[in-house]
Amino acid sequence: MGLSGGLSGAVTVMLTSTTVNGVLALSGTLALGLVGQAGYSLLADRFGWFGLPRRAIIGADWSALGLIMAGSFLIIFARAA
Amino acid sequence: MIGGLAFAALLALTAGVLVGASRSLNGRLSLSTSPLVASFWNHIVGFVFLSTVALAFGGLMPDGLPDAPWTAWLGGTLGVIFVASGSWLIVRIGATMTAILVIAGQMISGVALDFAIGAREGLAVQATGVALIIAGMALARRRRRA
Repeated sequence: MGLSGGLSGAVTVMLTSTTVNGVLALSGTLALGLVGQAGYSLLADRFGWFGLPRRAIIGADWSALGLIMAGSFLIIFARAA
Repeated sequence: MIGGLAFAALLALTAGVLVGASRSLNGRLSLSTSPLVASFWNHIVGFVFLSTVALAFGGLMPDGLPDAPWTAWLGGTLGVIFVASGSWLIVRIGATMTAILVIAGQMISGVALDFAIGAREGLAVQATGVALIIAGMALARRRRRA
């Protein structure tokens, strides 16, 4: 199982190269990709997935997450709009 | 069309989840080995997998491959460093902090690179985005010191 990091990386490239050329285009692919990544990470920390230590998510983490996601969305859609 | 959009959205979300899962798996592997060893096996497994897929469906050797500028080959080298640094980070600061700080670096350097090549549409909005991201990074930094 430890070696499957490479598999998920490869599948990521296959998925995004599909969605970039479709209705989502680059901006939609990036934005939803960030949402997927952040959502996964919160759960992975909360439950200690894949043998990594559990981590509590505290207030400042949520604020940092919110600010960085908001800033990213502004940048992603600055040109798409 | 809604069905097509929902399906595309699901694919894009899945891609994001896999970016995180890949980092967890490589991070766990780096605990038993080292970040560079984890990155090595990440790319070996990805290479074998993608080669198999490409052999089945074609498209492994696009036209004009020999004419590609030498800089086109640097992406893979940077990828090795990217995976190794992700493994190093996730075991130290956790999945969420790693994800949002990597995203922060990605977005800010994206804006800087676009600016450098003269793509400057919506610059005020982009600058606001960068300011929000920097504020978020400052908050994350405060938490780590606490």
